[in-house]
Amino acid sequence: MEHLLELKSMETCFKTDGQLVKAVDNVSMYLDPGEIIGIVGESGSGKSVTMMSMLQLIGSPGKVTGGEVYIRGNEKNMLEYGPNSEEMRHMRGGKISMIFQEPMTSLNPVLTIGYQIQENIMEHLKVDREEAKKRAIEMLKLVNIPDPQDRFDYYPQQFSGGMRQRIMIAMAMSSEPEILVADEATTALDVTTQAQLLEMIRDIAKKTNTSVIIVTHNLGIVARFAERIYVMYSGSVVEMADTKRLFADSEHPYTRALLRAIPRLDDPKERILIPIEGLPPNPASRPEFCPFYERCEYRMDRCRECSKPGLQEIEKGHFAACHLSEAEKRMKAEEIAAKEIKKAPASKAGEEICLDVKNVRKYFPIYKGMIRKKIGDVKAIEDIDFYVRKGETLGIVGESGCGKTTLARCIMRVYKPEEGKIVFNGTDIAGFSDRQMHPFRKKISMIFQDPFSSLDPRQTAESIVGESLILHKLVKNREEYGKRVDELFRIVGLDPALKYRVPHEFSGGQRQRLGIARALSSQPDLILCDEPISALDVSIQAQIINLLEELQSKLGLTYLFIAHDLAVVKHISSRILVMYLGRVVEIADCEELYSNTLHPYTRTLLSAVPVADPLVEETRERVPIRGEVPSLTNRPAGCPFHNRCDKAGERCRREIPRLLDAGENHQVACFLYNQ
Amino acid sequence: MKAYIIKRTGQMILIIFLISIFTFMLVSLIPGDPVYAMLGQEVSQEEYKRVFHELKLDQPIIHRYFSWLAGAVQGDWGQSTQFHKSTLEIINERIPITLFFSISAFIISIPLGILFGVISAVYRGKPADTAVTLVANITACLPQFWIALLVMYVFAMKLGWLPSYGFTWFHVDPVTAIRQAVMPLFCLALGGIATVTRQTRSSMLEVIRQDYVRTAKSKGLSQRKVIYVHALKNALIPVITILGMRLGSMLAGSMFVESVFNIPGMGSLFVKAIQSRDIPVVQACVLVTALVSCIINLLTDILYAVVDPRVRFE
Repeated sequence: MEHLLELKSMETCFKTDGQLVKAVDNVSMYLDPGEIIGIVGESGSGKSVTMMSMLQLIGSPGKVTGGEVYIRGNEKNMLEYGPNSEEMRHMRGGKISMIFQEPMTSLNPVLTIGYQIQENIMEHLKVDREEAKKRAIEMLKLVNIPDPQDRFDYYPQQFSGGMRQRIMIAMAMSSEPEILVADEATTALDVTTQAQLLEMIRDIAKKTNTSVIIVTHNLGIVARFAERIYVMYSGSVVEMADTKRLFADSEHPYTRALLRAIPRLDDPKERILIPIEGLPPNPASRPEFCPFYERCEYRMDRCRECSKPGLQEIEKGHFAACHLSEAEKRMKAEEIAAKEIKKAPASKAGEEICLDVKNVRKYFPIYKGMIRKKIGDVKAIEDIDFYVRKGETLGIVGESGCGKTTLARCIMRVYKPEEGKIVFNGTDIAGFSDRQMHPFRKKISMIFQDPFSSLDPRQTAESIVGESLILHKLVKNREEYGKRVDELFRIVGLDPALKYRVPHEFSGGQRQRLGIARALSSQPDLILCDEPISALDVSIQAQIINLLEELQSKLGLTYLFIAHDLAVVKHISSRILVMYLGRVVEIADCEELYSNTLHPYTRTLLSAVPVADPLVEETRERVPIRGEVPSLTNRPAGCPFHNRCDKAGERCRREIPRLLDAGENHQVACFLYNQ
Repeated sequence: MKAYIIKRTGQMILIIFLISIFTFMLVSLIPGDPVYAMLGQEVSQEEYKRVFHELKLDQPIIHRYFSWLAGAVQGDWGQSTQFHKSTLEIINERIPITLFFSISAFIISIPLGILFGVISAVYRGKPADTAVTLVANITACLPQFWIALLVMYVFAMKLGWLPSYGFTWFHVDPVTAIRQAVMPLFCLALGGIATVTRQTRSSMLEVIRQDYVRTAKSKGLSQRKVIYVHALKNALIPVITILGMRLGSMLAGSMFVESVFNIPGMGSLFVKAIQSRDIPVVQACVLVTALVSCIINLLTDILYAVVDPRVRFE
């Protein structure tokens, strides 16, 4: 059968420091009509660059240096046409549309969304302005934008991130393309929005027989949506198979290692994540032999001596790029399985309460006008009630804007709550002044989300880690300081010899280790981890999760683990707190929450998270969610979730449900239960 | 949008009011006695007293300010001590000439500056960019009066192609008018072209890297549409700030250029008035310049809101 799209031996180079670096190295792939394929890989694996190269969207200093692109209906290699040629422009946008990662910046802020869609239609369907407008409005209707007639003249900044991405989908589909490329299209969005959008893309694609290429780092997404998957590593495809086979019977050591490294929502509690050690090779110094060699558990001396392996068909339709034979792999796999995997002993949570938060409320005033008159409040968090025992991990989950970070900042006493108690080790710190707070500061520390911007670029690693040692007078002299810093480096698995470097000389994972060392330096009792791994690649995430678990059992730390990735939260937490629109909606022990989910919001949240296993995905019940998270200034009266809840009754519209016990150490704020 | 304009206009009125206080205080700030400045050192006691009284210097300062302000609002800005004419009359004669030069130079410099800026951004690193950037950087550094003297030396004195001074309105004598206007306009516009080029180039380079430009390219739009519809409209937002400042500095530049080319505009009037301590004229010039600057700023801000919808919805 003739393929709809075929890439052959694509090669793209970037010129850095006068050196040509291959970002895409001999990548071939194909796509059949109506098919949905996934391309997965970590950052820098070349997945996006391959797509951009195919459409000749690579700008200086990058250059497509080789390969062929064929699309059905055109005999010639598309790369032979110039990037701005008539033919190429017809393919780009006309036959292949693309949706990008950042919905907030991918639409032009000074043009109306209507114009931007209309323009695309006029360019490719050759219709007049009126006709194009009609179709644009139809497209907006298709992606469920309310009042499309009026919204046509709106500007992008008048829409939320999820809405903008829907507009991007409408625009991409408006030119009736044969192929839609979604390049990390939902990565920046919340899980429920992500699920809504991907389902929408799939439904539209199936209805219009459009083929879809999903480019992502998230194995769960491809497991749920893709029919066939390419796995990329360091600029090359290392494995290709249809989805079920890939997950059930992966062949390449990298794919196998990935599946062992990612936490899944359906994991049993005692599952051990096995991180992939090391880092992907720097493309500039990529070896001649297999690029995964350094990190591969299956490696043999032969792999080093041969040149880079090419894709080989192992069974029909299943390709992998590995030198090892089936028998060799089986042998190695047994060896690996036999290896003892040490798991940090689960830390024992005592009965003692470390942190007790009662009825905490934080509002932010809204000012307006020249004299800055207060006109209202952003009700960031309200009625927050929970406790954390010593040595346990409490996971806090919720979508962006639900108040997770505000809560963390109140506990850190960066903000002063308007009301409520924050009892830390028996002392209520909610109303403390900066001076009163000082002795407590060293006992509560924080690990931040972004290891790139949360470290001072001009400070050396040593002074970043050692700063609070001096600040809290925890060391007596220079010598002791040096010793303690070295010790901290070793605790988080960094070589103390690196301590004179500045942050940009470290990789993302190493930087997060620095952040952890900094948090540990003052010997805290409680560490607030605010999305500590969400900026890291999957293979690195497992390293950091394991490190955090190990440190907890070694040092008896208490964690508040804030994240939007429910699988990670489930893996690390002993109890979980779910927030929605500034309120706690459910708290329960980890297993209890997942096996006996009570709150309708938690239920939709859990079902929105894709599991990296297509067989599990097939049988899972999907709880659809409608609408979007309302803004905090416009919070609905009554239960904050009532306007998106299927089970909402009259009472939910009037009264706010209180967080009450539902047995089994399970608390829920919903009128369906116990009230 | 309407509320925005009203708000900005209100702010403008407040600023003008504050400037008027400052302007009025000029009389007391300038070293030396205003009466002596007006009449020279050798005046009789009676003469001094009469003028002292005429200038109302014997009244309290608040009183003087408000009576001055009341006069100024009605167009009574006093008698010029230098020309022995009403200040209003002098300003009325001079202002159209300066506005003619400033606005023409402004109109010449914007499209040229934007064009050069776009060219050099699109061909970044190529010879065209190198040439444009080099010339723009050099001209932006050159003082205006130096350029004025240089072109005057070359084109008027050495080559003799153009007259070295004077001003004629176009409807009076078109040929002379153009010949006389070429050099001053060139001097006034040159700095503007250079600044607008540099600003357009840098903001264009910034915008070209943005995600929405990539989106536009991925839609298969032509290079021309990507640059002129999607990129340029965004790139112009910072350029507008420069435009407002440029028109202000054109007024300042007119002082040098009008003095060098002996053009009877506001600029040269201002310089002369300061030299001869012609206080009513100085006051009028400061006030008029402030007013014009404020109006330009207001227009700039409105233009902002027109080009950038984000400003509108804030």
